[in-house]
Amino acid sequence: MAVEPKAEGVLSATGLTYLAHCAHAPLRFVRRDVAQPALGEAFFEAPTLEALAHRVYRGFAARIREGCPRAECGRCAPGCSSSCVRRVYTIASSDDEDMPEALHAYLVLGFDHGRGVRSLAARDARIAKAEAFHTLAVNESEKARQFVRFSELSTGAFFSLYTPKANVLPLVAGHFARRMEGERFLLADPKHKVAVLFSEGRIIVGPLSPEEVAELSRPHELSDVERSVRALWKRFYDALALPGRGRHERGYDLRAQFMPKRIADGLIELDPTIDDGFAAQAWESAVAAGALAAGVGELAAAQIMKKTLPAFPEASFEAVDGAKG
Amino acid sequence: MDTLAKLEILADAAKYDAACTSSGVERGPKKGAIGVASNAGCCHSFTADGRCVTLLKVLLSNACTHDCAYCVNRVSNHVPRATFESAELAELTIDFYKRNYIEGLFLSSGVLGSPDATSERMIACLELLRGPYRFSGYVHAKVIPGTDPALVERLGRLADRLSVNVELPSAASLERLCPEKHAEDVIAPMAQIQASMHSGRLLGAGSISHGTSPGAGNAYSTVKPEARAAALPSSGLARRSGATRGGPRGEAFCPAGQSTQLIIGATPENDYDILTLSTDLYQRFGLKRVFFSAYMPIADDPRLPHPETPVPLRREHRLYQADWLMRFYGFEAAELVAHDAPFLDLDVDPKLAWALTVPERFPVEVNSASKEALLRVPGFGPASVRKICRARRAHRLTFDDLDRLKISVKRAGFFITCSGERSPRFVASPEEIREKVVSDAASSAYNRAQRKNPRQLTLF
Ligand code: SF4
Repeated sequence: MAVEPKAEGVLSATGLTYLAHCAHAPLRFVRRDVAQPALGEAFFEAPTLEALAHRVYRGFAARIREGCPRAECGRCAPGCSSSCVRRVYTIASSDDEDMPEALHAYLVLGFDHGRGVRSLAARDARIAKAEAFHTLAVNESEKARQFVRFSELSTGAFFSLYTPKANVLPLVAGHFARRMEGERFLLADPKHKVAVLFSEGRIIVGPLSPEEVAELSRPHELSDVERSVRALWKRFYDALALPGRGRHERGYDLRAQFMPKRIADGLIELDPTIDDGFAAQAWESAVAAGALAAGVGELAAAQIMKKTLPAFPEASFEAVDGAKG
Repeated sequence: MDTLAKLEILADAAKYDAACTSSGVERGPKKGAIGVASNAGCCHSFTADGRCVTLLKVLLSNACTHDCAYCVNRVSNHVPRATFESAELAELTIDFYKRNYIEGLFLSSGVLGSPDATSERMIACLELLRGPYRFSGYVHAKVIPGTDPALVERLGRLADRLSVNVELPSAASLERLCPEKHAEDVIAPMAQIQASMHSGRLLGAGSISHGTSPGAGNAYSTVKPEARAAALPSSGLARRSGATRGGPRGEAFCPAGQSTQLIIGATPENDYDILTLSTDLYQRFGLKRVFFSAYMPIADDPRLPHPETPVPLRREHRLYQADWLMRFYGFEAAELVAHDAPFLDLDVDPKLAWALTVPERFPVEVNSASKEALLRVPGFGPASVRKICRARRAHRLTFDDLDRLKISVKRAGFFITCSGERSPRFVASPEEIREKVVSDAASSAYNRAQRKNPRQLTLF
């Protein structure tokens, strides 16, 4: 089955195989964009049927919760992150070409074994892979929560480009929306071509075209105080370094372990070009003039998002909250 | 002086405090307010030396009138001085927060004349942040020893976490190095915070604190915190009625609990003293964390280690590991250090050091051992133990299964069996295990660097 490489693609294709009474063992799920049939194989292009995908998801959730000592009345108990079910979204965020097959196996074996599906990881390579994809998603989501850096645009809205190793921005959309109650922001991932828009209390997640990615990657007009706030942050960060504990004394670079180069490159505090007192003075004048209390204007990039509708069910926004590896 | 210059001075002055967590309280969004708090916290950056940056950690002022010998802000030290305006600090917090640079504010201060006058200024700043600025993110406030209990109470209604730094691990050291501070001034607010949190819990607000079981006694044990707390203006309803209200953060008292810091290596206390004291503090005051801060020699003072003494980084690291074992793995201080062996082994981690002293408890069989026994296996952490417990429900595990589960047995292999089989790495004697582990570690960059820096191991 050649499927769209997202949760709904695999859920929907799994639903189709059930409806068609196909045996699952001889089937192989592959990403539609990199599908290469092996000798003697034929591919069926599975369409993504959103309604069917959501039906399969609901059925899977009910099956997983059956007999779970932590669940009551078909719902997860308080304190349980229902991570067995939400894994569907974390696994699907992987870029790996084996993702569809791993998720397909997780769904099929989950329907067979219920919540015991994860205990099969030691013997079933596909479940082990699904677990690895989930772990990567949890780690990448945490990194996004840590290292996304917003800039204030001249419109008063906030904007950030961030490139994670898996398609996790939809998974952390809820986190940033809670954090930024009352604000407007656009968070875009140029690699996975996906953007999260938060405006008037609503989260919208949607795909970006290559032209939109190019548009978003161009420099934006920043607010009057943005450069000053960056300078203040950089000055604060630089002042925190403690002598006698660095990588020479320690023998290894602890900072590089926590902030690998791909992340460090996008961080304002590590940008040597930022530190100018003039910018910080602008911040002070703005504070004095009460400019920071001004209302937010129109989000320049919002137009890009207007054509899209939520492509992910709300459950996916919270998919990594409280999830354990 | 402009904000940039102040920020540099006051961040530099605050950096010696090791605490920088934003964990321990969950608070969702509120209409009209900015910010949330999450139980797990979040590190937004890491300093050049690898410490986590999660809060805007600054002093309100470094113009301290006290003269603690180990402190860079002491009155006798000639450094530039600065003091933030409340609005300045509130603006900075909000601006940094919205850009996802921080989770909130960590506010501490040097003593501006008196502890009460300083606390009043800290409260004014936090009231502005919680009130007109509607900040609902995380706030950690430092309580200055000697502060009036009524002011501590007000601080606790504004901050998520409070901390009173013990700093020096014995009353004798405190007396010698901090002429203006007294042990009872450190302990009393801790007891008060514990009591207020407890009464908040009885009334259904705030976080859950531990019980107040008296500790085994320590360098501060002559102080009777419970008695002092009982003598304070009453906790509970009366106290709540007088408390600051109305901010977006609600009115629970110190919902993320309290913490403290101990400076390691400035004074002669050994690890046994330090771990016994920290156990006592956890038990007696329900602390969420005891932070250890390796002393950085900053003063040429005969009461302190020589200014060129290397920072005891590895000792600090081992103490954190031991603390972790005590909090999450069910270890007790007495299992890790003893009167006659009062320092943690710097060559191997405390769990391995412990395992080598009790060979009769190993090997454990991964298919049948209890979760607690597995957690005590060197090399296994909670994630590995969870995976093992889950997988063994489906079938008996072999070493190949552990490999597929991505559980490393490089170290654990010395201490386990799988379906009765030993790991190929198995060696029988503790001496051989130690030798192997140390030689594995010796090839690491860390140890190569430490060998070039032998004074790191010279504590006193
Ligand atoms: S009171 Fe605090 S800031 Fe002042 S000298 Fe002592 S430790 Fe430093």
